[in-house]
Order: sequence, then structure tokens, then C-alpha cells
Amino acid sequence: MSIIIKNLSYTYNPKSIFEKVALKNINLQIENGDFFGIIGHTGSGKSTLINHLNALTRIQKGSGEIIIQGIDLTQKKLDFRRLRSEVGMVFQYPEYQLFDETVAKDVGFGARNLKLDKKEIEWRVKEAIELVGLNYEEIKDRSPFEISGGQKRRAAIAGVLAMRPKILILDEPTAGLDPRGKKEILDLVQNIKEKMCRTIVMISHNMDEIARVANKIAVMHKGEIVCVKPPKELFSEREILKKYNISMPQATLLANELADKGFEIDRGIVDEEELIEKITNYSGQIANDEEINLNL
Amino acid sequence: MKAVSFGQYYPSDSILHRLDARMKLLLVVLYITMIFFVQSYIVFFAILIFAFALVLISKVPFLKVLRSVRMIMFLMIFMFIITTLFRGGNVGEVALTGDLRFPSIYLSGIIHASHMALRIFCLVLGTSLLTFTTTPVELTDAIERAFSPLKLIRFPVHEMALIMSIALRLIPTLMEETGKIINAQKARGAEFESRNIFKKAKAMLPVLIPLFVSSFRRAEDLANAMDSRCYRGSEGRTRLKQMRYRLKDLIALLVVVAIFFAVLVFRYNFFDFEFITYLGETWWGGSSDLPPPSII
Repeated sequence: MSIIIKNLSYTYNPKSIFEKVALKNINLQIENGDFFGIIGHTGSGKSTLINHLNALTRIQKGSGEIIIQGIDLTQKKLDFRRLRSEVGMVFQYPEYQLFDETVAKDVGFGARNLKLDKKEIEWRVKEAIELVGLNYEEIKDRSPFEISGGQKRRAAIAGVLAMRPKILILDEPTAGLDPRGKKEILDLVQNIKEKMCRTIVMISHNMDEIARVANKIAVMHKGEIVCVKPPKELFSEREILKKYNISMPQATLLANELADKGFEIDRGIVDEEELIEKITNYSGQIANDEEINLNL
Repeated sequence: MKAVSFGQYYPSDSILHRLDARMKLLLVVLYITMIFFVQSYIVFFAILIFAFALVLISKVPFLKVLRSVRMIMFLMIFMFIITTLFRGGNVGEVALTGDLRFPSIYLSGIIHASHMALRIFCLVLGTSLLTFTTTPVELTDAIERAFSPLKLIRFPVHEMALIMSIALRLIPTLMEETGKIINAQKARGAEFESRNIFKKAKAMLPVLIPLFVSSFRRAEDLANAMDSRCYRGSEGRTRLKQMRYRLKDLIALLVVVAIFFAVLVFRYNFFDFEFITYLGETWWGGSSDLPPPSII
């Protein structure tokens, strides 16, 4: 078990007029190898929750516990260096954190903070830059402020990867990109999962994305986790979707439309490819069966 | 979600909040001038009662007001001690410390020093009441109006006011951004808790540089947005919020002017009131420039 959260609650500005409960009694288990998606509307507590996983937000006294890779986050004298080399965190618009003179130096910032030796840092920087799909030789000496937007985001992600975390947390990694950029970053995240970080936790507002990559999705609503399900199950439960105002992935929407019109098709399809395959096979059947009339 | 609040403004709907900001500015200037004419305990006492009554009317919690005065406490105490120690006595006054060369403390010195401390206290009380009851935007608007005669000598009043209000507007935004960047760098292992001041300054670089970069980006966006809406400075510009003097503004002005007049009467005794002459000879009703008080 890689992340265990028990009875976690969090209140902003406790005991004042600005008091606001952000998390209510969260229980969650994320296993090694999970690609764990978190969805929920703005203000549902997603960010507060993931900030806890990196101890950027400390657990309030007596409001639950978190254990990550055997590290107990409730302890007072927490070894931050160890925790942060276990858990990497990519925030929204990570390119806004770039600051150093060259891309290589910037990517090495986290590794330097781990007090590794020079050779090791250099090696990790190279590895991280190549893992995010940039050309190391070409980009290492350029200023992070003169490369393109997409490259900036990749470089920023590389800066987290250079710490070689086993768990990677991403807060909307595709925000503000065009469809192609979104797809590239998403492919990148999957590639990272394969090659470096076995466990990934990702927040997203884009249902197509999360349905495509996650194997489990947690739905957050007003500081609570209302359910944790594999995408296929989640997106075929219309009750839940309606109650928490969650939209369906495009593929699921289309599958449902078709099912409503009387086609025999699985309502829980979340993947485009799968849907296309089903429809292609179906039209094959139709060609042989003239009784069914396509009037969509 | 943190409740973003800055400055001192305390939202409420008291009459002080509803007064015209220009009038409040004028009243505070009058009030400050008035304070400098006060030089006896009894009048200070009356002013304090007046100021506290205003705090009550403004519905701003007492503790909040006192907290803003607390910041100036150090200055008050420091000035009190220095003045007491170094102010020479009046003609013919014997030092309380006898023949000692240092320190030679005089009763009139203590009175003078305490008057100064009281004066600062009253000043801070009055001016903080202004910032408690007026939003920064109203205040800059009022300042623009108040200084508009300077336009005659080509002083860019409107531009200055605009700079001020943009700066005020961006404070919370930049604070939020700083928080985000700090978190992002912390997640990459940055440590800000160093005791060494040079190390601390160096540790702030990864925060300051992205902050500067984003400020420039913001400034450019804002300039473009203004340009594309045909902003061309103050020339022929009308306002969303028209400022108008109302009856209550006039009444407030009259009240303050009346009090100012009373203070002047107590100071200069224009009408030769006997009780003022009598007060002037006591330690609690007179100034510190009098011959040694007869009471002691």
C-alpha cells in the first residue's frame, strides 16, 4: 500500500469568523501501481487533499493520519527531504515556477536540494529532461524563459522528476493547453508511470482524460470523498453523475445516446477507440440485417 | 480557499463607512491639524472620548483598532523615554532628580513627553479609523479628486491614482501567487527556514524571480487589455461611481469644525473665559510650558 489516509479532516482558519471546513473525514487507500484520478468541482477540497500528501499542508492535530511509503505524516519532526524524494508534486501551470539561468540548472534545483553529489545530479537532470521528451543537448543551456510554452511545461515537470519520486502527484497537468498539447502531456504522464513513478495521483476537470488514463477515480464533493470506482463503473452510474453534476466523457455520451436509441451497446464505454471498434462491428452487423433502421 | 483580505478595511454599514471618501480625507486632515493644537490632559481626554465614540459608531471591533495602535506603541514609549530624559526644565524649575547631572528629569518634561505620546496615540486612532472605514479604491479615488488642482501644473494626478489603485488591486493576487510559488519550490525541496540571513535571501530567489516574471506578464496583459478598450488617460473620462456630497457629509464637517473651534478656544481663550484661565494654571489643564505647577 503506498498511500493510506485515515479519517483526515482539515479546517481553514479554525475558531475564527473565516472558519471553513475543507476536508471532512477522508478515508482513502492508494495502492502501488495505481493511476489514481481525483475529480470534483472547484472548492471541493482536491487541492487541500493533495497538498497534504507532500506535507505542504500539515495535518491538524487530532484530525486524522496519513502514511506514505511507511512515512507517518503526523509526526512532528518529519523528514521533509525523504518525503519529498518519495512524493513528487506537479502543480497547476508548473511552468510558472521556473527561475534559474538555464534549463539544466532549473531542472537540477530539486536534486540539488536533496544534497546529492554532482555527477548524480547531472545524470538525473539528463534522465529527467529526456524522459519528458526534450532534447537534452539542445536545451540544457538555454534560458527557461526563452523556450516555448509546451517546452516550459515539460521542463517544469522534469524538475520534479529529477528528484526521482516513486509517487507523482499532478494537479491538472493539461490545463491551458490546446487539444494536441493536452494529448502529448497525457501520453507523457503515462510514459512517466511506466518508466519512473509507479504510482500516479492526478486531478483533472477533463473527464475524457481522466477516464482514459486512470484505473480508479475518486469523486470529491464539499470536502468529502463520495465514491472511488474504476472509470467504467463510475461513468455508467447515472445516479452518481447526476447527483454530483459530473459530465461524461464524449465517448460515454455517444454510447449512451446510441443505447437510448435502442442499440445494444455498453453504456460504460469511456474509451474512444473501444467505441469506434464497437460501432464498426455493429455496422458490420447492420449491413447483414436490413430490419434495423439508422435514423439518428 | 483563503479569505483574501488586505489593508485594514473592515466591511460594515455604519455612517462612517457611508460618508463620502473625500470628506473623510478632509476630516482626517482637520483632525490631525487639531491634534497639534491640543496641549492639556483634559482636552486630550475629551479628544480620546470623541475618537472612541467614533470607533463605537463605526462598528469596527475595538480589539482590531487597538491592534493597529499596538504597532505604534514602541514609537510612543521610545519618544516618551527620550523626551523625559533630555528635555530641560522650565525657567526656575527644580529637577526631580535633584542635583544629578544625568539624568535630570523635570516634572514639566514628563508632562511634555506624555502629551507627545498622547498626541501620537490620537493621530493613529483617527487615521486608522479612516482606513478601517474606507476601501482602498475609494481612498485612491478621493486622493485623485483631492489632488486634481495639481493638474494645472501638469502633475499627472490621474495616472498616479491609477498606479496606486492597480498596485492595491494586485496585492492580494500577488500574495496568492507567492503562496503558490513557495509551495511549488518547497515541493522541490527548497528550504526557507534558514536562520542565516544570507542563506535566507538566497533561498528566496527561486520565489522572487518567477514572481517578477509573472508580474511583468500581468502588467503586459493589463496594458493590452486597457489599450484594446481605448484607454487614453483621464481626458474626458467619466466615472462609474459618482462621488456626491450629501447632508451627512455636511453634518460631519460641522461637527469636526465645531470641535476644532472648541480646541482652539481652550488653547487661546479668545473670549477670556475664567474657567479656562483657571484650567491653564493646573497641571492637568495647562501646557507643559507653564512655570512649575503649584500643586506639587
